[in-house]
Amino acid sequence: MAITDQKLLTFSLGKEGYGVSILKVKEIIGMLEITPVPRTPEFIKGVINLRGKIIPVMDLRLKFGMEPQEYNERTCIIVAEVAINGNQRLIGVVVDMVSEVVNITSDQIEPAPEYGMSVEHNFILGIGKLKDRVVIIIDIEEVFLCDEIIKMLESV
Amino acid sequence: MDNYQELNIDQEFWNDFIVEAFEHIDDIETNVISLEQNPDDMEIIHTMFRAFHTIKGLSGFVEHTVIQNISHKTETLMDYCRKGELAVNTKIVDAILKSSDYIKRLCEDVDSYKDKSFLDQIEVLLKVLEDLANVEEISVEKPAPAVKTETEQDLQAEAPPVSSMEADVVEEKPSEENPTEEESVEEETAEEEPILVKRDLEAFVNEIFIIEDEEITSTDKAEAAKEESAKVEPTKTEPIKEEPTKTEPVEEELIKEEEVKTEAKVPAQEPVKEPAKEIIRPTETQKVEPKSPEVSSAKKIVSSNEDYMKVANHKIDHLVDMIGELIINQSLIDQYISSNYTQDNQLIVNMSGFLRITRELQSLSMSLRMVSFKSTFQKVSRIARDTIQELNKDVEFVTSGDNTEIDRVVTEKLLDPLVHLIKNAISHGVEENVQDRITSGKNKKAKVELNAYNKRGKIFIEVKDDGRGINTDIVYKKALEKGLIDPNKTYSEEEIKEFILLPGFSTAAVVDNISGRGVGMDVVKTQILKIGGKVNIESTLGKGSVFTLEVPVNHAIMNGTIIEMRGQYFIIPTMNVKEILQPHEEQWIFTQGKRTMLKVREDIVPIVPISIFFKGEKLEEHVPLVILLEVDGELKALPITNVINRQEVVVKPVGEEFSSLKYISGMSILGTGRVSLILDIDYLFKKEAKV
Repeated sequence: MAITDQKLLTFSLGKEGYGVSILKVKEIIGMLEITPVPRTPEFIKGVINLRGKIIPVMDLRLKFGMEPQEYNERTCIIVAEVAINGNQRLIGVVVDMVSEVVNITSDQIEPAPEYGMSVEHNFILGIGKLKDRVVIIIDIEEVFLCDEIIKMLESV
Repeated sequence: MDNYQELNIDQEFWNDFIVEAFEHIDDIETNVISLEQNPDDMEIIHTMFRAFHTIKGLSGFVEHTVIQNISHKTETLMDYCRKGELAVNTKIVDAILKSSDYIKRLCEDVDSYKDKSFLDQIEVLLKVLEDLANVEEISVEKPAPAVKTETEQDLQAEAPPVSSMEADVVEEKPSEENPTEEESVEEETAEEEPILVKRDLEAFVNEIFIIEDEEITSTDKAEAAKEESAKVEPTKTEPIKEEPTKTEPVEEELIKEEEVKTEAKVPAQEPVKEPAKEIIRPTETQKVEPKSPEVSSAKKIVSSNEDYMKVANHKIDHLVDMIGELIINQSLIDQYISSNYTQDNQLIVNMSGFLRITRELQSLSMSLRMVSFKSTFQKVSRIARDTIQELNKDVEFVTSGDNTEIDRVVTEKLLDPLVHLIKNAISHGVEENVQDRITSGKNKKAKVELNAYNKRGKIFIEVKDDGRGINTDIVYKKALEKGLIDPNKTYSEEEIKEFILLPGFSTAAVVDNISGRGVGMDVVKTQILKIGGKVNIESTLGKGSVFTLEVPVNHAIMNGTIIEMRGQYFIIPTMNVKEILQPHEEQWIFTQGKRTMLKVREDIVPIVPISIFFKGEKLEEHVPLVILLEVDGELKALPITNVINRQEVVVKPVGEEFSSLKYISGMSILGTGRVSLILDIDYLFKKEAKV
């Protein structure tokens, strides 16, 4: 995905600020009861009922190897659209808190440094320098379709 | 047409064209099979003629000349059949099937017309179609001398009679024939009519006077009816009666009359009811008097046309989902009311009224997904026909009950198993040698049947053959050889027959020697089990076999038992639940310090290891409940903490991201709005279901 001028949905995991392209985001919902699905990677929290649709939910903290945090009233699920084997699927992403939608221009975005990041490099599209803070722009599709999930898809 | 010409296909209409064309192709396929059985059935020939005619017209509209060419030639051939100048035979049927196949392929793959080898095939087919139309012309059975002396060129000039008929609509008298050169010109314009007319169906139908009794499914048929009316009227039907005796040497008139005869056949059915109001009517009265009987019948056509509307599957699925969601929400409210507002009678009454409506709504929405077996049977019939021809066997293939209704999702899953079973019945069931049939006192012609029916709320589909039956001795030996069974155990005849459903058991190697034809029967079984069905085998050696598939009407709804394991709810299909019991400590059998089996009366039942679901976890010391699961007479015990409920659940497929989790067969949303996993019981019984 080329980084151009765009709108980002920003959210936080602990003290870290992140952003995803608004085009991938379908909606933001509060915490719902998650049904665990045994025998899946740890960061897959399970499935939720999104108005009759059953969608998988992953915890971004666990995915990024951060300490788990108990869910509270600020915890949100970002519902995003990803393509799995060519089919559009909805997935839920649990984040600590959703902040705001910001406009960002390409000159505000810098390429990600090669090291020193808690997040795997290939998830990161760039570093966005906003007025008062910095956000890590991630590709939600890449995050979800990581090795573990791909392994699950392949072992069919 | 050696090299393809770039076609300038109108994308906007192409998609519409495909939908429409497929409908006609489907029609053709169904009809052609029955035509082969009743080669004299004019009704079928007419329908098929019209179908090809419409495809031709439509393809002209999207400017797909290849399809237009094929359909034109086929239509010409059908026209001869329609006029009785050609007798339908296998060659013709083959050619028609090929035409529809090719058209299908051209529709499915827009670029296929660029494929040189495919174009060559088409070229061959076109030649065949022409030859069929020409050669058999000479051996015409009709005692019409004029026809017999016709030259080839004359014939070709007459070839598109429908277009001339369309031209007739504007003609005032039948004797005023258009010169043949003009016909071909008009053909181009006339063929575009169906689509143009389609835009204004209602206004158009108002113009129809003559009613075809048969089911009218598309506007072009109505179009045809209109033409018929226009044509028949001025002739006042007399020539029809005269025709057989008349030996008019003028070619054109004879042809004309023949057309009138065949066309008039359909409209002539109407006057039986209304003898006073003959179909004779001047062409000018195209504005309809509201109370004439024709109009009321014409309205009938409109309604039969409008009774159907095409809706995309995903929309229906979404509707069903949303209604399911509505029901869940409603039950949440209902629960809240019944615990907090027990005093408020009005609220309770209103709520129960609401419940009734939503329940009705739900069953209605489920019924939207119900489809008949027609298209499935049609596809299977086609494959049966091909298989019979390929193997060169004398087999009659009969279907019944194709109007049985079933959930669309289920029919999709049934097609492959049915194709397997039918192929098996024809290739392995039916005797290789006709002599074998004769010696055992059977009809020379074998019979393979495909029947569907509804019984006790389930759908049964039988694949029946009167062939040699299953030889249990051979089956037993083969199963033993392949190490699929326990050599020390004795099996009943029934059990042995079931062996052919085992994976790794090739029927081909047992019953005959046609290698490569044996399709894994285990695939059939797995598929059917997946949709919650069963496979039954009945077979008598030397008499034949019946494979019966028993499947639920509605795959989406299942009776489930909700259980709790480790604080989590799971759903088990109730049909697999044999018993729920509280085991006494002395019933447990330990191996290597673990509870691995349970003694239930005389049976020793193995325990399903809990680590299948919860990786690395062990069974607790105290197991309050055990649920006995049964699959094909085998038992397994699943330790659980609690049984919650037994209810109808709406099954949703497992999302792709979880498809590697073999222990779940689906998911469902419970009344609380919570998602629950449905356990795949068959998997728990499989050997590979390891920790």
